[in-house]
Amino acid sequence: MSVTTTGTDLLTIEGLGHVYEGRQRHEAIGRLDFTVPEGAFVSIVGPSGCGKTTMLRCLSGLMKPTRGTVYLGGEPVTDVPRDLALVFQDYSRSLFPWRTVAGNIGFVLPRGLPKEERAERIRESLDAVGLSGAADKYPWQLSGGMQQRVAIARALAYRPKILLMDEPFASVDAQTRAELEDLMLDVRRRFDMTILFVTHDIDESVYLADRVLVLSKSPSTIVTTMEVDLPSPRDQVATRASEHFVQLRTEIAEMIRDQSTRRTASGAGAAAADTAP
Amino acid sequence: MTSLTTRIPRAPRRAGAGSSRRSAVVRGALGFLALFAVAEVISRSGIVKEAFLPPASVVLMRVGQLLVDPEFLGQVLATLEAWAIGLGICIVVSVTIGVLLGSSRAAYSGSRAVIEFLRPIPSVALIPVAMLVLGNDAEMKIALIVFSTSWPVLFNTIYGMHDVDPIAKLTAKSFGRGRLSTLLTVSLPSAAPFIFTGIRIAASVALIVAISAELLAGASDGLGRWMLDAGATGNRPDLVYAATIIAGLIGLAINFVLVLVERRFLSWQPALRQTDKGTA
Ligand SMILES: Nc1ncnc2c1ncn2[C@@H]1O[C@H](COP(=O)(O)OP(=O)(O)O)[C@@H](O)[C@H]1O
Ligand SMILES: [Mg+2]
Repeated sequence: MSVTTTGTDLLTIEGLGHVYEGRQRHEAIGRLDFTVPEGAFVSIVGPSGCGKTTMLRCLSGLMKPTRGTVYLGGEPVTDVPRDLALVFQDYSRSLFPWRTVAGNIGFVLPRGLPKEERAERIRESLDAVGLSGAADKYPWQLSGGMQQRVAIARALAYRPKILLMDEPFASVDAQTRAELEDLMLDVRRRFDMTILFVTHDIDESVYLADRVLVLSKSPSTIVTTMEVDLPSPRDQVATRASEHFVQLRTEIAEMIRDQSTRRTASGAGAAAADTAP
Repeated sequence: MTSLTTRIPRAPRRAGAGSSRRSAVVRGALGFLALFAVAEVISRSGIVKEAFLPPASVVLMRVGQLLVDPEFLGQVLATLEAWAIGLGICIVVSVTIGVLLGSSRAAYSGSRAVIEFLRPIPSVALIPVAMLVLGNDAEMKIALIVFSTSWPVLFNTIYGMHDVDPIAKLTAKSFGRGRLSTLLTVSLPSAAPFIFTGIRIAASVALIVAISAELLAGASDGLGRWMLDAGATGNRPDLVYAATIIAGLIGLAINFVLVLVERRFLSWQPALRQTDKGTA
C-alpha cells in the first residue's frame, strides 16, 4: 500500500515557524511546508528537541505559531479543530486518573449522546485497541502499553478525520512497541484514518508510513521527504529484514548524519543552542 | 495544624495486614482499659479528690445516661447545627475563592498579602469582636467557625489547583473543551483530594471553635454552654467529664465518616490506590 490518497490534501502546512519568546528566546521551528494527503500515514522523524511537540501543538490549535498557516480540510486552523485528535507523548499524564477507562473515553463523546450509544462507542473503540475487558479499570491499574492503548481508543472514539501522534511509543518496551505499531497499522486500515505520526526512531518511521519527513535540529526545517513504497501488509520481521527497508532507513540515517555534521561545522554557537532538551 | 497543605500520608496497605490490624485493635483496647483502671484507682483511693476526678466508672455511666437524655442531646444538636452550617458556608465560599485564586497566578499573588495578614489571627481572639457585632447566638458561632475553618480549605484548594497537570488541561482543550468545562471536569476533580484534606481539617477545627465559642462567650445554647452550666453552676464534675468524652466521640465519628467518604469517592488518588502494578 503506497500512498492511498484520493488526491486531496487533508492537512496543509504553509511556512510554519515558531519562536519561544522570553528570557531565553528560542527558535524551535525554522520553516515547515508540507501536506498530509487524505488517507495517508505520514511519519515525521527528528531528533529530540527539534520542535516536534511544538509543531503538533500548532497543528492542533493548542498554540498559535509565530509564523505560517495550517489548513485542515481547506480551512485555516485558528482554534482547536473538531476533526483532529492528538495523542500525547505522555499518556500517563494525559489520561485522567479519577476516571475509569470507560470514563476517560466517554469524556470525548458529545454530551447529548444517548446512554446506549455512548456505551456502544466506548465498547467499539476499546475493541479496536484490544482492551475490551478493561472498561471498568482505572488507567493507573494498567501497564504503560495498555494506557497508551486507552489514549488511542479515546482519540478514535472522538471520530476525528486525522490522528496526530506525538512519539506515542517512546516509553514502552520493545515488545510492546512492536505490538502497538501493528495496532496503528490495523487502526488505520479499519477506520480509514489519516495519521501524522511523530517519532525520533528512524526504523519506526519507515516501518509505519507511506511517507517520511525528516526534520533537522532546531530551528527545524524539512531535510528530506521520502516516499516509502514497501509492500503491505507490513510485518515486524519480514519488512524490517527486507533489502528495501534497510536501504530506506540507511538513507535517512545518512541524511541526518550529514546534515548535523554540516551544521556543526558551519556554526558552533548555533549547534550549542540546539542541544537544549 | 502546622502544615495545612500536605496530604496526610497513609501507611501502604499490604496483603496480610489483616492480622496485624487486629492485634493493633486489641492493643488499643488494652490501652483504654489501663487508662480506665488507673483513673478509677486514683479517684477511689483519694489521691485526687473526687470533686476534681470522679471515678471512671461513674463518668462512664454518666456518658451512657447523657446519650439518651433528650435535653442534653438537644444541646449537642445545637452545636452540631452551628458546626454544619459553618462548615457548609466555609466550603462553598473557600472552594469558590480558592478555585478563582488558584486558576490565576495574578489573582493569587495579588491576594497573598491580605491572606497572610488575616491567617495568623487566632479565631478565639475574635470572639469579643464577634460578640460585639453578632451577639452571643448562633450567628456568632457560625461566623467564628467560617473564619477559622476557611484557611485550611482555601489553602488546600489553591494548592490543589496549582497542582493540576497542565497536560491534563491541554488534553481537555484538545478535545474541544472550553475554559469553564476544563475547570469543572479536569481541574476540580484533580484538586479534589487536596480540597477534601482541607475539609477534614476544617471539620475538626469547626467542632473545636463551636464548643470554645459556647464556653467563652456564654452562648445561649450548645454543648459548650451545657458544660459551663454543669461545671460552674451545677458543680457536677462527673457530668463535665462525661460531656467531654462525648465531645471527643463526636469528633471521632465525624472523622470516621469523612474517611469513609474519601475512600468511596477519592480512592483513585495515589495515597489510596489499591494496586500492586506501577503506573510506569
Ligand atoms: N514553553 C517553552 N518555552 C521555551 N522553550 C520551549 C518551550 N517548550 C519547548 N521549548 C524548547 O523548544 C524546543 C523544541 O521543543 P519540543 O517541541 O518539545 O521538541 P521535541 O518534541 O522535538 O523534543 C526545545 O529546545 C525546548 O527546550
Ligand atoms: Mg516532544
